[in-house]
Amino acid sequence: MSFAENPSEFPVTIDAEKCIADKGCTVCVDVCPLDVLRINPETGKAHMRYDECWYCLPCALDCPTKAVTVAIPYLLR
Amino acid sequence: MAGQGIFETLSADLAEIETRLASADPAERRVAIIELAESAEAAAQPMLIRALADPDADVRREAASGLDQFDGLETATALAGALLDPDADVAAAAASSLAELKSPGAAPPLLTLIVHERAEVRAAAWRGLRGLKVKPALAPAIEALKDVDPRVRREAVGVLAYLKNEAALPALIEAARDQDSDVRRAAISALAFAPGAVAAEAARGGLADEHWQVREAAAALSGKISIADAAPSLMLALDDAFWQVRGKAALALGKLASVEAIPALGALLSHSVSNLRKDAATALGDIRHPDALPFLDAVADDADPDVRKIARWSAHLIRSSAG
Amino acid sequence: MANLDDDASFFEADILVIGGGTAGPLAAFKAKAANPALRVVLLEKANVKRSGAIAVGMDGLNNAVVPGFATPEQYVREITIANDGIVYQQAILAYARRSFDMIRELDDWGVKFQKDENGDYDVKKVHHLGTYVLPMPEGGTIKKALYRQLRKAQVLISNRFMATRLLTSWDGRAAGAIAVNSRTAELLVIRAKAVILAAGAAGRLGLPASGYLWGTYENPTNSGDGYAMALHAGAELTNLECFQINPLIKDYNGPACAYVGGPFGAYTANSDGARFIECDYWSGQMMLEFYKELEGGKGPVFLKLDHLAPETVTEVENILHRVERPSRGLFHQGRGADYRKDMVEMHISEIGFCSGHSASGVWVDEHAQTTVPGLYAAGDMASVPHNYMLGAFVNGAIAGEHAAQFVEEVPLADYDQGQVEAERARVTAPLRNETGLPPNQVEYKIRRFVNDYLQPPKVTRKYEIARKRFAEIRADLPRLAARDPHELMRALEVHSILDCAEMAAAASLYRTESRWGLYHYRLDYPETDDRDWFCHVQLTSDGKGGFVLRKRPVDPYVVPVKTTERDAYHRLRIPTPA
Ligand SMILES: Cc1cc2nc3c(=O)[nH]c(=O)nc-3n(C[C@H](O)[C@H](O)[C@H](O)COP(=O)(O)OP(=O)(O)OC[C@H]3O[C@@H](n4cnc5c(N)ncnc54)[C@H](O)[C@@H]3O)c2cc1C
Ligand code: SF4
Ligand code: SF4
Repeated sequence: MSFAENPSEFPVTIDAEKCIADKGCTVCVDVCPLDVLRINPETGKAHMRYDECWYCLPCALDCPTKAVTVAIPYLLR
Repeated sequence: MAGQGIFETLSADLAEIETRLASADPAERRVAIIELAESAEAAAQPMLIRALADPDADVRREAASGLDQFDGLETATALAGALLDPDADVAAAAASSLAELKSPGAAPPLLTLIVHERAEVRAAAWRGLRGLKVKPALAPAIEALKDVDPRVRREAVGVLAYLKNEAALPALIEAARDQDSDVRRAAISALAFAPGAVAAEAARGGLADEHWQVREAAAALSGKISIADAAPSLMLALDDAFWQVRGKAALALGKLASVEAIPALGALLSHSVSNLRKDAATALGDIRHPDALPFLDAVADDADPDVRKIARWSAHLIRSSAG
Repeated sequence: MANLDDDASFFEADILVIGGGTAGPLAAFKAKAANPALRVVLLEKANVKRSGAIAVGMDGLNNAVVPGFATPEQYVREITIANDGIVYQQAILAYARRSFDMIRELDDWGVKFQKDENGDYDVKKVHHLGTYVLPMPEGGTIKKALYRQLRKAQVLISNRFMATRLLTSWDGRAAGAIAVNSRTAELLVIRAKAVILAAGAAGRLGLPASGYLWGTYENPTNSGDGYAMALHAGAELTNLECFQINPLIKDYNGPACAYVGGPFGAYTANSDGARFIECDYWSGQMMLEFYKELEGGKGPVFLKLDHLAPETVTEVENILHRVERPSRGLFHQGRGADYRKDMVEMHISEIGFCSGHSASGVWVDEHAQTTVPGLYAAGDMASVPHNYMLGAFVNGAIAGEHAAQFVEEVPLADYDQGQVEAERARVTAPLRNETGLPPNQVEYKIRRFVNDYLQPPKVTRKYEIARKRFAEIRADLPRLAARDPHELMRALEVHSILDCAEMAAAASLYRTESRWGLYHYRLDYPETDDRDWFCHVQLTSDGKGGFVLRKRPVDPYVVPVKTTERDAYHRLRIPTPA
């Protein structure tokens, strides 16, 4: 099943150099209330999967390597 | 019954975490430490303490942070050690975990650090001691008010303020004249536990301070202790260059029910800063004297709703207390 | 993905708590503390480590009743007046009496409240009469402290499960709940002797002006599921026409917050930089004044800090930019705005249901019991008014303790397996649909209609149109389609949002008067009518998709409020003659 594509900017970005998801870390994915982050099994790094962000920051505050950057979603910026 | 994975496990598998702590990869050890700290298991404490000796600074920092949930002598000893860590972030994490200690039994290792050669270590040790409120800290804290570093003096004031012991009063009064304004401000606020006359004396000095936040703290102290001796210097403070100080002085005069202050407070009701008009109107109500009524009635229609609200309320208080 | 026709996982508990934000953790913890042998499940749609309104902490207690600053009776009196008298005082008093002990217990757990230099609580006066605000400049660690207590108490924590319906027995008792996993779509049936609902506010009812579905005042996980579940289980809901509407930073749509800046001298101002708000509390009255200023040509409205000393502004920033909504700093930075020289533009939020800030919710008594036996509710979705965070903690505790007693005396209730089958069909439908409507579009449409027609001031005709539009969308719901379990969660949330929208419309139409300032300001009935409407409005399901509405008299006050007191308070609000 498919829907029409409706592009939007991801407000959350993750620095793959810093991310240690491949070492077992899932902190940001665990703490996101909206459950919009995932670990990409191919790269072994975290990334944003759904554009549904409350710009609340647990992901950034709790990331042990400070790999997560949250921007205010464009529509509000 | 429920399939696996519906519930978080009730107790973490510490043995499994232990094996990951032995990994050669520091990132894997770090992840293990995070899980260990989260487990909230009592048995995590010695493991976290051991991790403070990890070769990787990030692992040590995570361990120092996780120890914030434990108390007592062993935790304190370990964190006191971590405070001396060559990595500044590890030391900072240890300092903030030390500030969470609550049991008096945690004091001894901190008491050994209050004479450490580095000022930030001394300051962190005092910060950790504050919440423990132990008597043996009293004499050295008084001594520490003479420390060369203002951060240390500031934290020592905090320790004495929490102890609320009268033996510290002369030293705190001295600290209210410290060369650092943060120390003076803290010392003046600390004196709220002092007998009225002593606090009033300190407040008087503070009201003449060169830094406005110290003067504000002194005015606030006068309001808190409500001692009539403070009135004359508070009256002077009604002309302070900072409206913040004037406002606190006005509120304090209200608490003192200072009838002499009514004309000066009344004059403040036409000041351009509405926050100050508000404080003056509050004070006039607290004094509960009919002389204030003409002033209050004059601002019953002030442009600022908070001012007219308080003016009306104060007038109501005066009229109903007279009736 | 789970096989949709699989048997659901099944678990038997003593107490099931739904929602692990603020009230839920306390409910679970206190139930365990009362009887460690109980099996207490805490079910959370997100992850209890960082969920709900307090996910990154709070910057202060708005309603602390601390000895020496306020008494429980004084607090009850003021909340009664602030809510135009329509309150169930027993429940407010039950909160107020435990408020201080709760602060001390949280303090022991490592939650940090502002203390003065001597280590005593530094309660601030913000309201005109009482003194209730206890700042929390270092309030970022609440969740961590709660989580550790839950682990120590051996609460069974289940994350990423969204409860969708309650189970009830033939005689109307709560029997458990059905939930679905938001990552696997696994279905879970939990049977329990008592169920405590703590699923938060209905925060995704109105649409933020930005148009971004997730840019809400409330944590958007709070989509009103608790209200919907209570409704379908037969519980009474009350005063739903008393909406939540807040003054927020424009576009950012988060609080600024006057309770933080207030003690430092900041205030809400019009475009002349002058104060205009008469009312003391965050309340419908205050929002009405806010609304009128915006409409009256003196807008926009701002938060004003530029008259404060730089040292003071830094102190305020250290709070606003670090806890509660720490991305406030990021937002201002992006626009080059500085509190030292710029006023912060404010606006009126979208509507929602939330007793934390207003007075609506699932009806509860002083033991947090709903009208359904064995079903409790606490926090923003329960009807104790102006409850805020500390109220959520206290009422969660009350619910947990009472439920622990209740389950000692009763066996598990039986329910009809048909309920599970019907819910399985509803829950899995979006995944079965090969084509259909994406949840975000349906949600957008409902919430836009909420703005168009339900946002106060309320107009009867608009409300009638809204009900028609909602009915049309209801007919669309079977076409909701989801490509994965995550979208499935969103699709099921749409059901709750529509339920809440319809309840908001029905309750508003029923009360033919105006009350609570802007919250229930009806242009066709602009006056408050104490003769006919000094009562609660109770709403229940009629079992056929409609509602039954009735009046419930206000119970005799346990803390009398003298008319003179009421008048004195109202006199404060008389505006200047222009
Ligand atoms: C931005 C903001 C600022 C605030 N500022 C203050 C303040 O300064 N001082 C103050 O006292 N109060 C403040 N409040 C109010 C206070 O935070 C709330 O009143 C209180 O936290 C509500 O607690 P709760 O348990 O009802 O809801 P929450 O803490 O929001 O918890 C509800 C939980 O239920 C979960 N949930 C929802 N649906 C389901 C479902 N179907 N299944 C399972 N779980 C579900 C959610 O994920 C969430 O974790 C503020 C609120 C907000 C939003
Ligand atoms: S928390 Fe940080 S390190 Fe861990 S998975 Fe997320 S981005 Fe990577
Ligand atoms: S800011 Fe909040 S909602 Fe957005 S990704 Fe991070 S945790 Fe999730």
